Amino acid sequence: MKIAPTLNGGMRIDAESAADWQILRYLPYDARPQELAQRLADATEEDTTDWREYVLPDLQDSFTQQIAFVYHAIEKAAAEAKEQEGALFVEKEDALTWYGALNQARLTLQAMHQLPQTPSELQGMEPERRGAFYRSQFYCIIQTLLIERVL
Amino acid sequence: MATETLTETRESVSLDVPWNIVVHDDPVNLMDYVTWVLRKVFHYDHGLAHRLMMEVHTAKRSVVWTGEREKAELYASQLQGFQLTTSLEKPA
Repeated sequence: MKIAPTLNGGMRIDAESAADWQILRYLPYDARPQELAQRLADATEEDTTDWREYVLPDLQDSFTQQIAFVYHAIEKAAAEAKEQEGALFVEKEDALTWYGALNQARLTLQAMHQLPQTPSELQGMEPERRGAFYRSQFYCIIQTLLIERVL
Repeated sequence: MATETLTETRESVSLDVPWNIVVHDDPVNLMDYVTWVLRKVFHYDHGLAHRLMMEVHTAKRSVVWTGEREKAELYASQLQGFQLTTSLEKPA
Protein backbone atom coordinates (compact mmCIF):
# COMPACT_ATOMS: atom_id res chain seq x y z
CA MET A 1 0.00 0.00 0.00
CA LYS A 2 1.18 3.49 -0.81
CA ILE A 3 -0.09 6.75 0.66
CA ALA A 4 0.77 10.11 -0.93
CA PRO A 5 -0.45 13.71 -0.98
CA THR A 6 -2.24 14.92 -4.12
CA LEU A 7 -1.73 18.16 -6.04
CA ASN A 8 -5.18 19.45 -5.06
CA GLY A 9 -4.37 19.28 -1.34
CA GLY A 10 -5.85 15.88 -0.61
CA MET A 11 -4.39 12.43 -0.19
CA ARG A 12 -4.49 9.16 -2.11
CA ILE A 13 -4.22 5.65 -0.77
CA ASP A 14 -3.13 3.07 -3.34
CA ALA A 15 -4.15 -0.45 -2.44
CA GLU A 16 -2.20 -3.13 -4.28
CA SER A 17 -3.41 -6.43 -2.90
CA ALA A 18 -6.32 -8.22 -1.29
CA ALA A 19 -4.61 -7.77 2.08
CA ASP A 20 -4.54 -3.98 1.56
CA TRP A 21 -8.28 -3.92 0.92
CA GLN A 22 -8.85 -6.15 3.89
CA ILE A 23 -7.11 -3.81 6.31
CA LEU A 24 -8.94 -0.81 4.84
CA ARG A 25 -12.24 -2.65 5.26
CA TYR A 26 -11.48 -3.22 8.93
CA LEU A 27 -11.76 0.52 9.57
CA PRO A 28 -15.57 0.86 9.59
CA TYR A 29 -15.87 -2.27 11.70
CA ASP A 30 -13.30 -1.23 14.28
CA ALA A 31 -15.23 1.96 14.99
CA ARG A 32 -18.30 1.69 17.21
CA PRO A 33 -19.97 5.10 16.84
CA GLN A 34 -22.79 4.52 19.30
CA GLU A 35 -20.51 3.29 22.07
CA LEU A 36 -17.99 6.08 21.57
CA ALA A 37 -20.70 8.74 21.73
CA GLN A 38 -21.98 7.15 24.94
CA ARG A 39 -18.52 7.09 26.53
CA LEU A 40 -17.89 10.74 25.67
CA ALA A 41 -21.32 11.78 26.99
CA ASP A 42 -20.76 9.80 30.19
CA ALA A 43 -17.51 11.70 30.76
CA THR A 44 -19.33 15.02 30.85
CA GLU A 45 -20.08 14.70 34.56
CA GLU A 46 -22.75 17.33 34.19
CA ASP A 47 -26.45 16.62 34.50
CA THR A 48 -26.23 13.60 32.24
CA THR A 49 -30.00 13.38 31.76
CA ASP A 50 -30.05 16.57 29.71
CA TRP A 51 -26.79 15.66 28.01
CA ARG A 52 -28.14 12.29 26.95
CA GLU A 53 -31.33 13.86 25.66
CA TYR A 54 -29.83 16.74 23.69
CA VAL A 55 -26.17 16.06 22.91
CA LEU A 56 -25.82 12.28 22.71
CA PRO A 57 -28.14 11.83 19.67
CA ASP A 58 -26.17 14.49 17.75
CA LEU A 59 -22.88 12.81 18.60
CA GLN A 60 -24.23 9.42 17.55
CA ASP A 61 -25.54 10.80 14.25
CA SER A 62 -22.33 12.64 13.48
CA PHE A 63 -20.08 9.66 14.27
CA THR A 64 -22.32 7.24 12.34
CA GLN A 65 -22.26 9.52 9.29
CA GLN A 66 -18.45 9.59 9.36
CA ILE A 67 -18.31 5.81 9.33
CA ALA A 68 -20.95 5.49 6.60
CA PHE A 69 -19.04 7.95 4.40
CA VAL A 70 -15.74 6.09 4.79
CA TYR A 71 -17.40 2.70 4.33
CA HIS A 72 -18.94 3.74 1.01
CA ALA A 73 -15.70 5.38 -0.19
CA ILE A 74 -13.74 2.18 0.49
CA GLU A 75 -16.35 -0.06 -1.13
CA LYS A 76 -16.60 2.19 -4.20
CA ALA A 77 -12.81 2.22 -4.64
CA ALA A 78 -12.64 -1.55 -4.12
CA ALA A 79 -15.36 -2.12 -6.72
CA GLU A 80 -13.44 0.00 -9.23
CA ALA A 81 -10.10 -1.72 -8.52
CA LYS A 82 -8.53 -3.80 -11.27
CA GLU A 83 -6.93 -7.04 -10.11
CA GLN A 84 -6.85 -5.73 -6.52
CA GLU A 85 -5.06 -2.49 -7.55
CA GLY A 86 -7.02 0.67 -6.96
CA ALA A 87 -6.85 4.16 -5.50
CA LEU A 88 -8.81 5.70 -2.70
CA PHE A 89 -8.89 9.51 -2.83
CA VAL A 90 -9.33 11.61 0.30
CA GLU A 91 -10.36 15.07 -0.86
CA LYS A 92 -9.38 18.04 1.28
CA GLU A 93 -13.00 18.81 2.17
CA ASP A 94 -13.49 15.22 3.36
CA ALA A 95 -10.29 15.05 5.41
CA LEU A 96 -11.98 15.77 8.75
CA THR A 97 -14.56 13.05 8.11
CA TRP A 98 -11.76 10.59 7.40
CA TYR A 99 -9.78 11.76 10.42
CA GLY A 100 -12.86 11.35 12.62
CA ALA A 101 -13.53 7.83 11.36
CA LEU A 102 -9.92 6.81 11.93
CA ASN A 103 -10.01 8.37 15.39
CA GLN A 104 -13.21 6.51 16.26
CA ALA A 105 -11.57 3.24 15.30
CA ARG A 106 -8.47 3.98 17.40
CA LEU A 107 -10.47 5.16 20.42
CA THR A 108 -12.61 2.03 20.27
CA LEU A 109 -9.64 -0.33 19.85
CA GLN A 110 -7.93 1.39 22.79
CA ALA A 111 -11.06 1.07 24.96
CA MET A 112 -11.49 -2.60 24.04
CA HIS A 113 -7.88 -3.78 24.22
CA GLN A 114 -5.93 -1.24 26.34
CA LEU A 115 -3.23 -1.25 23.70
CA PRO A 116 0.43 -0.63 24.58
CA GLN A 117 2.26 2.39 23.21
CA THR A 118 5.20 0.51 21.68
CA PRO A 119 5.69 -2.79 19.78
CA SER A 120 8.22 -3.90 22.42
CA GLU A 121 5.29 -4.74 24.69
CA LEU A 122 3.73 -7.10 22.13
CA GLN A 123 5.55 -10.24 23.26
CA GLY A 124 3.10 -12.85 24.49
CA MET A 125 0.13 -10.80 23.44
CA GLU A 126 -2.84 -12.76 22.09
CA PRO A 127 -3.32 -12.53 18.29
CA GLU A 128 -6.55 -10.54 18.43
CA ARG A 129 -5.01 -7.84 20.59
CA ARG A 130 -1.81 -7.81 18.49
CA GLY A 131 -3.90 -7.37 15.34
CA ALA A 132 -5.76 -4.49 17.00
CA PHE A 133 -2.41 -2.88 17.89
CA TYR A 134 -1.13 -3.00 14.30
CA ARG A 135 -4.40 -1.70 12.86
CA SER A 136 -4.36 1.15 15.37
CA GLN A 137 -0.79 1.98 14.34
CA PHE A 138 -1.80 1.92 10.66
CA TYR A 139 -4.75 4.25 11.29
CA CYS A 140 -2.46 6.52 13.28
CA ILE A 141 -0.05 6.84 10.34
CA ILE A 142 -2.87 7.96 8.05
CA GLN A 143 -4.09 10.40 10.71
CA THR A 144 -0.61 11.87 11.06
CA LEU A 145 -0.38 12.43 7.31
CA LEU A 146 -3.84 13.98 7.28
CA ILE A 147 -3.03 16.43 10.05
CA GLU A 148 0.40 17.32 8.66
CA ARG A 149 -0.55 17.58 4.98
CA VAL A 150 -4.27 17.99 4.54
CA LEU A 151 -6.17 19.48 7.49
CA MET B 1 -65.63 19.99 56.39
CA ALA B 2 -63.82 21.60 53.50
CA THR B 3 -60.02 21.56 53.33
CA GLU B 4 -57.98 24.31 51.84
CA THR B 5 -54.66 23.94 50.11
CA LEU B 6 -52.20 26.76 50.36
CA THR B 7 -49.54 27.03 47.73
CA GLU B 8 -46.42 28.96 48.57
CA THR B 9 -43.95 30.01 45.91
CA ARG B 10 -40.43 31.05 46.78
CA GLU B 11 -38.00 32.68 44.43
CA SER B 12 -34.28 32.57 44.77
CA VAL B 13 -31.97 34.70 42.69
CA SER B 14 -28.23 34.24 42.63
CA LEU B 15 -25.40 35.17 40.32
CA ASP B 16 -24.55 32.59 37.68
CA VAL B 17 -21.19 31.11 38.51
CA PRO B 18 -18.73 30.52 35.69
CA TRP B 19 -18.26 26.95 34.51
CA ASN B 20 -15.01 25.32 33.51
CA ILE B 21 -14.53 23.17 30.45
CA VAL B 22 -11.95 20.50 31.18
CA VAL B 23 -10.20 18.47 28.47
CA HIS B 24 -8.79 15.15 29.71
CA ASP B 25 -5.75 13.29 28.44
CA ASP B 26 -6.16 10.06 26.52
CA PRO B 27 -3.64 7.78 24.82
CA VAL B 28 -5.19 8.13 21.35
CA ASN B 29 -5.76 11.74 20.33
CA LEU B 30 -2.66 13.15 18.64
CA MET B 31 -1.08 16.23 20.20
CA ASP B 32 -1.23 18.23 16.96
CA TYR B 33 -4.89 17.32 16.58
CA VAL B 34 -5.76 18.53 20.10
CA THR B 35 -4.02 21.83 19.32
CA TRP B 36 -5.89 22.04 16.00
CA VAL B 37 -9.25 21.43 17.72
CA LEU B 38 -8.64 24.05 20.41
CA ARG B 39 -7.80 26.61 17.71
CA LYS B 40 -10.85 25.60 15.68
CA VAL B 41 -13.38 25.72 18.55
CA PHE B 42 -12.09 28.68 20.59
CA HIS B 43 -10.13 30.56 17.89
CA TYR B 44 -7.10 30.55 20.17
CA ASP B 45 -3.75 31.48 18.67
CA HIS B 46 -1.32 28.64 18.14
CA GLY B 47 0.76 29.47 21.23
CA LEU B 48 -2.16 29.33 23.66
CA ALA B 49 -3.68 26.24 22.05
CA HIS B 50 -0.31 24.48 22.18
CA ARG B 51 0.22 25.44 25.85
CA LEU B 52 -3.20 24.10 26.84
CA MET B 53 -2.59 20.90 24.86
CA MET B 54 0.72 20.41 26.68
CA GLU B 55 -1.07 20.88 30.00
CA VAL B 56 -3.54 18.16 28.99
CA HIS B 57 -0.62 15.93 28.08
CA THR B 58 1.49 16.51 31.20
CA ALA B 59 -1.10 17.22 33.92
CA LYS B 60 -3.69 14.85 32.36
CA ARG B 61 -6.28 17.63 32.31
CA SER B 62 -6.57 21.29 31.47
CA VAL B 63 -9.24 23.93 31.98
CA VAL B 64 -9.48 25.21 28.42
CA TRP B 65 -12.29 27.72 28.86
CA THR B 66 -14.32 29.33 31.66
CA GLY B 67 -17.59 31.19 31.32
CA GLU B 68 -21.35 31.08 31.40
CA ARG B 69 -23.03 27.69 31.48
CA GLU B 70 -24.88 27.80 28.17
CA LYS B 71 -21.75 28.65 26.22
CA ALA B 72 -19.76 26.09 28.18
CA GLU B 73 -22.26 23.40 27.21
CA LEU B 74 -22.08 24.42 23.58
CA TYR B 75 -18.28 24.38 23.51
CA ALA B 76 -18.14 21.07 25.41
CA SER B 77 -20.49 19.44 22.93
CA GLN B 78 -18.31 20.71 20.07
CA LEU B 79 -15.17 19.28 21.70
CA GLN B 80 -16.92 15.94 22.14
CA GLY B 81 -17.90 16.11 18.48
CA PHE B 82 -14.16 16.24 17.77
CA GLN B 83 -13.83 13.18 20.05
CA LEU B 84 -11.94 14.84 22.89
CA THR B 85 -12.81 13.59 26.38
CA THR B 86 -14.39 16.67 27.92
CA SER B 87 -16.17 17.48 31.17
CA LEU B 88 -17.91 20.48 32.67
CA GLU B 89 -17.34 21.54 36.24
CA LYS B 90 -18.32 24.32 38.56
CA PRO B 91 -15.30 25.99 40.12
CA ALA B 92 -15.04 25.08 43.81
